Amino acid sequence: MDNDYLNMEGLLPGYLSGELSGQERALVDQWRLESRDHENLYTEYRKAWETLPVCQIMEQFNSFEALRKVRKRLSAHAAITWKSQIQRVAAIFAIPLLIYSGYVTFKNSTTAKHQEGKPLLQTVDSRQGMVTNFELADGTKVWLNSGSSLQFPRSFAEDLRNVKLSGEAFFEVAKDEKKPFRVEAGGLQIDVLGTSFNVTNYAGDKQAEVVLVEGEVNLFTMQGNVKQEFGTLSPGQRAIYREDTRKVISEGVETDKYTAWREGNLIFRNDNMEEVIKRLSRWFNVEIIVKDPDIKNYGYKASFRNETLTQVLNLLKLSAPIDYQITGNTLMKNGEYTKQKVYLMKRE
Amino acid sequence: MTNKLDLKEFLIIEGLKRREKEIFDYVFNFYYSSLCAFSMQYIENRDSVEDLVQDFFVHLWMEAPRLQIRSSLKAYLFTAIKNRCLDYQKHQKITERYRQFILYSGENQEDFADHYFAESELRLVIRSSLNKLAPRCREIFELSRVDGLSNQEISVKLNISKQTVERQISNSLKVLKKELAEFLPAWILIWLIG
Repeated sequence: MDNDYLNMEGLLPGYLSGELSGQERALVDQWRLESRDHENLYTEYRKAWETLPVCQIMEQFNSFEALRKVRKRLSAHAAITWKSQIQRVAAIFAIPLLIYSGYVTFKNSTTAKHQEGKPLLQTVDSRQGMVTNFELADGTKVWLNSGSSLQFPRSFAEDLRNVKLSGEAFFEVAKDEKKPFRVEAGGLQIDVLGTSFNVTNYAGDKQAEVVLVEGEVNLFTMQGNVKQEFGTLSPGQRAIYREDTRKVISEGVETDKYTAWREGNLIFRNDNMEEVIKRLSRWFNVEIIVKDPDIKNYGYKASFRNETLTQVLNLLKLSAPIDYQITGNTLMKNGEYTKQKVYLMKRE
Repeated sequence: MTNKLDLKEFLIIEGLKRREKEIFDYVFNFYYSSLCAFSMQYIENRDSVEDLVQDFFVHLWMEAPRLQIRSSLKAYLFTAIKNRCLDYQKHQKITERYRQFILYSGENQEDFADHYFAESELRLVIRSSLNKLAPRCREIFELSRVDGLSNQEISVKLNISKQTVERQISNSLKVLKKELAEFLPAWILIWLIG
């Protein structure tokens, strides 16, 4: 790169924002005219300059509302049936990101009750195959994984910010020295002041876990009305609470493996097959059946980003002696489709 | 483009032709806000812009089996919208004289309760490139491009030299333009045809 270019680079921010002196401005104008390469380079900078404002314009538009309107118009058309056909191609869209912007306000939900003196509760659900990202009234950012839901009061109490999680979520808690943020995840309770962590509390698992990325969290176990303090978790640690033993154990981990789902990445590092099966079945919304129990002991190390189910299975096949079979979904009596099934066998 | 991307695009287009709900919804949510923002270059009224883009998708569904995409899906969508915008502008000139007879219906009550919008490609790229910046650098860039402050105003606000501000912005632009480079070919097409 010639000296000329380097000098120009320094002038471009001023040029683009219109703050250069007439003389400097003329220099850049001249440089642009000198060659097509210069002009192209300028155009690239110009586009980078324009992208954020364009983003802001885009944010004004609510695609989900719009889609509803479109649906309404189309359903008036006799030929259309809106029966959901989850074909194998739906698996391609592993995690399209749903952004919920602005404050969360009360949704018309039959499960939300308002009783005198009790706070008005609301729930945000993240649909299967989607990650929902939104902000709470205090500025806390939440990422809800596929098939998860978060319950919280419309406005937080005076002394506590309390939320209840079913499924998996990542929190970036806004700092508030005076008001701790509390996540109830089954029998596990997590108290923080301001920090970033991942919480898992899936109904079928009989355990809840926390992975801490930044900051500090205090852990408690809740059994009926008995609350026990477990201790503090440091960044890079994962705590697992098991319902059967009512005990919490902690270990050091590489946190990005547990938080990668936010960006649509699925990472396995020395996970055993059971773990892999669980996460794949959630991610792709399929039922995975292991025909040979030995498979459960294989270990895996892989990183997937928005791969299709078959691509993932083929890759797994390369790293271990397994074979798979995917069956299509069947139409049930009530008009809905069953989940796709994946059978895993040992390969001879 | 890698083979992987081609396969995905192929399957999306096939899915659209077969009127698969999930795929239609995906395409809609993914591109809606950028198609609307794009249309704002031609049409200043937001409601008209949304009607226009929605009309297009209704048409897309109705004509699905006859869908023919020769270029990329993105180019197809933006070209189609651009043509509709130009048609709209032509039509506007004719109805201009009748505008005075249409009473302004008042503020639209925005329903903030369900303000979901889907992440589109551009936002994904921007988000990941901004994440690559050092926090200070990002802060300066956002003060400039999101809050609209001039370089001078930023230097005063943060109590640093204007030169530092410009250097940081230059860095941000470099990172962003590098990330956009792969994205740019299609985006250039959009702005060029825009």
